[in-house]
Amino acid sequence: MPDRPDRARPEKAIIDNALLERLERLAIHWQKSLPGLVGGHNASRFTGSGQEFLDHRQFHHGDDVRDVNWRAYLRLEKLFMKMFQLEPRIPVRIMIDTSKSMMTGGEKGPSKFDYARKLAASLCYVGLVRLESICLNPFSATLGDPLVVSGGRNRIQSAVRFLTSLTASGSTDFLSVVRQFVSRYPQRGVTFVISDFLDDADCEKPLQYLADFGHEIILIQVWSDSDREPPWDGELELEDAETGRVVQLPFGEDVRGSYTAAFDQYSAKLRTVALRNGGRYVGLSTSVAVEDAIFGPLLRSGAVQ
Amino acid sequence: MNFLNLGLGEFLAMAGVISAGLVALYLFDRTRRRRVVATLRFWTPSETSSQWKRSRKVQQPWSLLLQIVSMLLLLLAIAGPRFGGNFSPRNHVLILDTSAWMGARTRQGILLDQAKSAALSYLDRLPSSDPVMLVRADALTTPITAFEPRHQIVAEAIRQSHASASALNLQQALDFASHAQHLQSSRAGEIAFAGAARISKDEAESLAPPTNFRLLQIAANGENVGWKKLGLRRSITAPDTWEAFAAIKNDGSRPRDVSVELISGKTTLATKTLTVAPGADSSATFMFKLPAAGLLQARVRSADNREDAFPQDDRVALDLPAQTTAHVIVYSNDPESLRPLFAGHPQFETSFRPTASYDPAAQADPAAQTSIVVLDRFIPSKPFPQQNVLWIDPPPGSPFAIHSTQANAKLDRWHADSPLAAGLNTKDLQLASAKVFELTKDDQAVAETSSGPIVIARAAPTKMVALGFQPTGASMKYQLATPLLIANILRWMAPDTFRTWDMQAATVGAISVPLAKGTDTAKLRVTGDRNRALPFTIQNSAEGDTLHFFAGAPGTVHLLDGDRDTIYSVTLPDIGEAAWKAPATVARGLPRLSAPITSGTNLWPWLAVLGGLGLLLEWILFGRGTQISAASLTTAARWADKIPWRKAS
Repeated sequence: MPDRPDRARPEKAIIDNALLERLERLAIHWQKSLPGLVGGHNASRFTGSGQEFLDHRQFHHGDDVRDVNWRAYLRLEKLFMKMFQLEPRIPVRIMIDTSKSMMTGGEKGPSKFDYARKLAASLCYVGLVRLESICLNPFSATLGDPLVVSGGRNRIQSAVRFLTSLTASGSTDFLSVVRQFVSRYPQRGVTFVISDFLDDADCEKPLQYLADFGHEIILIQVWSDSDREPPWDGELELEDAETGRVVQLPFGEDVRGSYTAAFDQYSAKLRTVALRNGGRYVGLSTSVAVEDAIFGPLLRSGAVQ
Repeated sequence: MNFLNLGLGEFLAMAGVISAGLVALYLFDRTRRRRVVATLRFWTPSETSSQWKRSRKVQQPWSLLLQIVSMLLLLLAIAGPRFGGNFSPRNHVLILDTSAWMGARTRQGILLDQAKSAALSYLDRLPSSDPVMLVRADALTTPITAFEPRHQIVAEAIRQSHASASALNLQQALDFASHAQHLQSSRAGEIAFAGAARISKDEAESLAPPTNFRLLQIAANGENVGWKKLGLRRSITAPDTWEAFAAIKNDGSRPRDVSVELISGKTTLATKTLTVAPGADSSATFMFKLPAAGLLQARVRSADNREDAFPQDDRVALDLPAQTTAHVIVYSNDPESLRPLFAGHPQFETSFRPTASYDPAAQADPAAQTSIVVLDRFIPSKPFPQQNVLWIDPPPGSPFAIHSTQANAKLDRWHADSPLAAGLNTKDLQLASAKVFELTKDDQAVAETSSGPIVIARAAPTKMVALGFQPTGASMKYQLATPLLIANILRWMAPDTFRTWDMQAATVGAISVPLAKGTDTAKLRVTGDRNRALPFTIQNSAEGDTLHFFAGAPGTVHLLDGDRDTIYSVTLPDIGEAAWKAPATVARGLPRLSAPITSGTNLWPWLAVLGGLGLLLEWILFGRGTQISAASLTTAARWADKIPWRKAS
């Protein structure tokens, strides 16, 4: 009997055993047909040494004669090749925002950073259970050192330790991060991006850039309630957590609605980027428990099944 | 209009504090707050920014004003204002004299009953809504009720009052009453005193009543003769004889012939007839024999058959302790040499026996009457005596280890820290022969030569002293240190035998005891009943130190000073020396009957409702109630849309 991770006692602060048990039944799902080695669980349009028949094609020189349909040759005296559907194993990469903005808005409940780490650990466990190879990539202004875990659920401990050791600092630079990402990982795969996407620069262009390189992007936007609907009134002195820029302005009920509308509009843009490129978008408030988020919006989006 | 619960000053002070607090909280709530946010991209300034900038300090003055007014209305409701009527309550303090003298009898009855009657009459004359505080006054001032508007409670407390045993301290009671009235916000009423006002002469001369003082004085011209002082001590020459000093006072207006008797059981020990002048004292001394312990009663009887108004001070009871006698058995084959040392004290019963008559069974009994056993150059057969033992020149085999025997031993040193060497001093004393002992951890050296200790003491399990030499030998025979050393040993072994007692009959209250010069005040102890320590103070003056303590109730107090035990039988009631003659300006007698009271209109419920409504209005207009009210209006409109309204037409 394999050693289960609950016996190995992963870090309690991030993820608990009850959640892990529920996550066992899930699997990461992607929509694109991505090339890869045999052993995955998602069908691909690429042919290979699969079990399920896909199509016939003409024989060309160099083809493996073992795949020739000899019955068709006897009847038609033409060489046809049998093609089988491939279920490839593709790399799953999880990008976690570790900028300082992830630490804001944690007055009531967990901070966005803790929430993102717990979510990443959960997705990592879902992948490990299906024997995926998971690559954890922290990022802020640059792409941090990754951790690749594979080999089953027992490896969740190292992933949890890695996530626990992360600290939030610096500002976000999506363009620089995406450039480093595509150069570091030429093989296409599924890429989860867990972030609040709240930086002063526009992040739609870098995300589009990432999708253009063939990665299937799954954007998970994490926000706190005060990020979406600030509860404050009166004269405020606002400091940008990442840049340190300070703005003094009055705030009240009359502009609270417009603020929330602008925030929702921005989230809609992110959704458009993701869906346009065959990916998915999930927006999560930290007031929703991670477990509810996975078995609610994330499951409905099809990112996990 | 008047306030029931708060004075105007208190109301204004509280209103000021609340208003200032509200303004401070308001400004703090409206100060600019620093917030750290994830991004600044969505933030836009409020459209009302220009308005806020114009009134940056107080942005919503009407909200603040409404809050302040509402809070002041609530405070006003707490103050309990009344409008109209002649309701104007005043706080009165009624001081009831419960001193010892109030137990005196006159032709009209007991003084306290008359004082109670006067106090109840005074209570009836007061307006029914005036709060009254009842204070019982004797040596201590004890408030019995708070300022109580229900007069029946005060009347019940008056009826349950009893005379105490201490004298009246009127100035203290008046000061307390004035202070209590000052602490109340309502108008101060009268301070009424019901009693005989019998106080000390010093107090009578300096007493200054307050302007709102009313005197309900009870006439007390009764004739009284009684004990002023009684002191007893045991005679130095005869242990079973007591010397007594008696002082009798006459508080009346005529000379009195009295018979003073000292009685133990049914036996009259001494009697004497005295004539006491009015307002003066007369003293007498007695000497009587009372060998056993017992209760001594001292009585004063009128010899001229006149009635005594205050019989409580005619009788004194003193519990006389027994004199402890110690039994000493000296086992010696040379008793004559030791007889002067042990047979000279009257409280020691000494018997001399030859060493051959030693009975180990009798001496091993711890319950034996013998206090001290002296073994002169003699080792008894075991077990050794269970009593305190003095070993004189013990041969080997005693409980004390002998280090050596020193010839021509020069006694170099007496250990002054040991009680056995107290007062001992010898110079160039040379002993023909002395045994030098080895000290164990339980032993204490008393005297030593250059070779080691020759007199040692051991306190446990029983007290034992070993003398390494013969005290009646040639070199010690004529030394003054010899009888002193034996006396110190006997005192150490039987301290109760040397205890001296002085008995004093004292009055309840503050007691002052002059201390003899050279008294070690650090060793003084004052204990009351059940051996509980009583607090005391020592006043230093040029004339000498004086110890003061206070006994609030009858009982027995011990003043312990080393071996001396002074017992104060605090049983005599303390009576003031003179009736106070109040100044002519002081109001006397019962006041006029008060006019009927009309209470007027009570405004506090209306004020409370107004204050609450003001706060609710502020919450709706300026607070979070705006959101709720807007939401409720929206919800109501939504529900209204769902209702299938019909056109009226």
